[in-house]
Amino acid sequence: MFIRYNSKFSIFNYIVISILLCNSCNKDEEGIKYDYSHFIPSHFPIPISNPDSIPTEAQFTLGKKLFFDPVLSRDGSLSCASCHKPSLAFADTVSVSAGVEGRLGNRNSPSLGNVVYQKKLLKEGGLPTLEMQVLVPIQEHAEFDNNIVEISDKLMTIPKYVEMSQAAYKRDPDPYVITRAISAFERTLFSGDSKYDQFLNGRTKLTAIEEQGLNLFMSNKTNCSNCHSGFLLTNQNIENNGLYSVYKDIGAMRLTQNPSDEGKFKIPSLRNIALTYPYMHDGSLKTLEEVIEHYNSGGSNHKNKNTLIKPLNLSQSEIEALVAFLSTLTDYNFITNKNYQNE
Amino acid sequence: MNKILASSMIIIVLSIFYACNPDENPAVFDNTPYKIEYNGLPTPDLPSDNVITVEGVTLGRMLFYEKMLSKNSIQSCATCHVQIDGFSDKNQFSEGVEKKLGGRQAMPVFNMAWHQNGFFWDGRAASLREQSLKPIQDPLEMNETLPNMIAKLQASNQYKDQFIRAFANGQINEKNVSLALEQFMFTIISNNSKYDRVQAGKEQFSASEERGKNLFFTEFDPSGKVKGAECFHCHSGPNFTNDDYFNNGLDSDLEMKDDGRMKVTKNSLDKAKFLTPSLRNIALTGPYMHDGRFKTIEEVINHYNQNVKKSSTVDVLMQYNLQAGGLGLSSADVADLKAFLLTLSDETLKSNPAFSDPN
Repeated sequence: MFIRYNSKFSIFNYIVISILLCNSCNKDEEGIKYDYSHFIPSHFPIPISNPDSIPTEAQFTLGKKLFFDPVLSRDGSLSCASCHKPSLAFADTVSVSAGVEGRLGNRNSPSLGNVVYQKKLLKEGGLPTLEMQVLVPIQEHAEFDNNIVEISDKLMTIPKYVEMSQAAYKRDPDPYVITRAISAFERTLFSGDSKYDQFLNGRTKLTAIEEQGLNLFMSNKTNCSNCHSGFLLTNQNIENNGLYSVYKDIGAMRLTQNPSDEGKFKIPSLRNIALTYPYMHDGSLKTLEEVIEHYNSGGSNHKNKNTLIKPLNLSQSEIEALVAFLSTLTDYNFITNKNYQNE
Repeated sequence: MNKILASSMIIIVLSIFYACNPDENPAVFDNTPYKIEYNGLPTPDLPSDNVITVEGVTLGRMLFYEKMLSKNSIQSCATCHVQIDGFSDKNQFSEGVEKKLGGRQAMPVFNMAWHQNGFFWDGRAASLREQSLKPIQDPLEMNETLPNMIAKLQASNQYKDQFIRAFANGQINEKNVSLALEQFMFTIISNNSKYDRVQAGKEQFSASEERGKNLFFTEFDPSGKVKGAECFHCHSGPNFTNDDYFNNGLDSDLEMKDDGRMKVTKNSLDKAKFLTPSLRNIALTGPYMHDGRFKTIEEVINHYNQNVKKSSTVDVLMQYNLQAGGLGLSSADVADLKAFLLTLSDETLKSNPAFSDPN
């Protein structure tokens, strides 16, 4: 019997899970990961993950405190949540979020919803784990412009952090703890209670226009669901979607130096997409209508553009239907869940 | 004898030469590039089809101060974009040639080269060259037709020559007018404020300025441990703008009088959104907001501190401003923020002879 993931989801679950986990861990190889089913949406797969990364309550609480604490930035001015706002499904409203001293990078802040399922992190998919990803904004000049060793030194002087760190990991708040705890919190950010999910679970019906949009989305006419597939509405591939003919940000080529990777970025999940505007790797498209218009036009010419991106000849009413469907992907219980808010 | 003949010949030839060319320096196209010092500002992405040249900038500057661009030849761009006021207008709404008032505050003209996301408060011009021709034709502004403007310029020998120097085709036409104005406006760079000198390590902030800077760049902390004014989310980057359109909570839905960005995009989600202005030279460029409703920097800060209004399009970034008590900034905090904002003034912009009236 599954406990359904919804707004009732509480710290209590973590305590239960933690206790179960400890037992499971001791039992060694048997059924360790299944405890996830208590707090993940019932129709989502069990994330395949190292058992160590399944958070205990103490780890979750520490990670959450760090996530919302400006202590991570060099001048104490901003936290992870500054650019990953719970009310926006942990994304930001600006095209490019400003870091310390108002410095601008060149990419749009992604939603952290269901990040546990991401196989590769960052827009070019260069990092395999959340723990490694945590280091990136900490060190980026245009983000926290800080150093995890210095953060660690600072946390060591704060008794509350030392106490919480000991409780969670049996060690002081060193870089190991900081990266693990923040990742632990982020791994709990499940979002699977949108109207679309309720529809899939037979709890609600879509309106006619939403259903028309869903059918268009899944159809060969649009091919949206070729890339935005599966329960996350992404196949997690790295692709060029023809946004530009010349890319200022070369995307995956930054890592590989291979021209065939120019302008390729990770396909994002469309969950909560109505909240995570603006769109594209650089936040250059402001509305869902603009995004659909981009795909409807077939995009700009680029040698790496995915062959599925071609003019779609969608009518205005079809565009409206697609927007209506995409708007059903908003999970209001996720953005109001008290467990994920700063206290 | 031969010598006399030779000298006479030279004199004759020279006389003929002068007779045919009364101008000692006949105008020829000259594409010598104009050098811009960005000093600490990033090198902008300038349009590749309008290379900035010395002669093009000279022409653009002449045109910027040229009253022939308006009906009855009584106003120039510089009438409402006044150099000593940071190329903005001290009046809430500028008065056009027909003595009618515009509907929005004149935007300051400097560091235009970094704008990549539209011009005007609502972004209705995609490029600076497109922007440059709109006030000329606006009935509330210069109210002139482009054909009339071109005819007036074509009647001027001075402009005939300068268009030849500035453009390979030498033509006095709408496109070249807009390209020359674009070139000149791109050269109006402001990068010599106290803030810039502090960034370069040449000066230091006072204690109050430093506190103001920290408030400016700090996120609001709901726990109250740290004070933050949240300004940097939108007023970010080297020019203190993220170059995008937002509703900053000036009005409730019922009070909104100007649709802003929605006029361009036709999308109701863009209602009452306006371009984030640069805060450089903010002390020079009052009054503030798209409608110039605030006369002082204090009024602006007080708006963000406790007067932000809820509406259907107010940005999520205003979430803390909208809470009861707002940002909780004290009068000392407001004074510190203002002190920091005053460091963004570039006094040299006001007097730089390269940007002044050439006449």
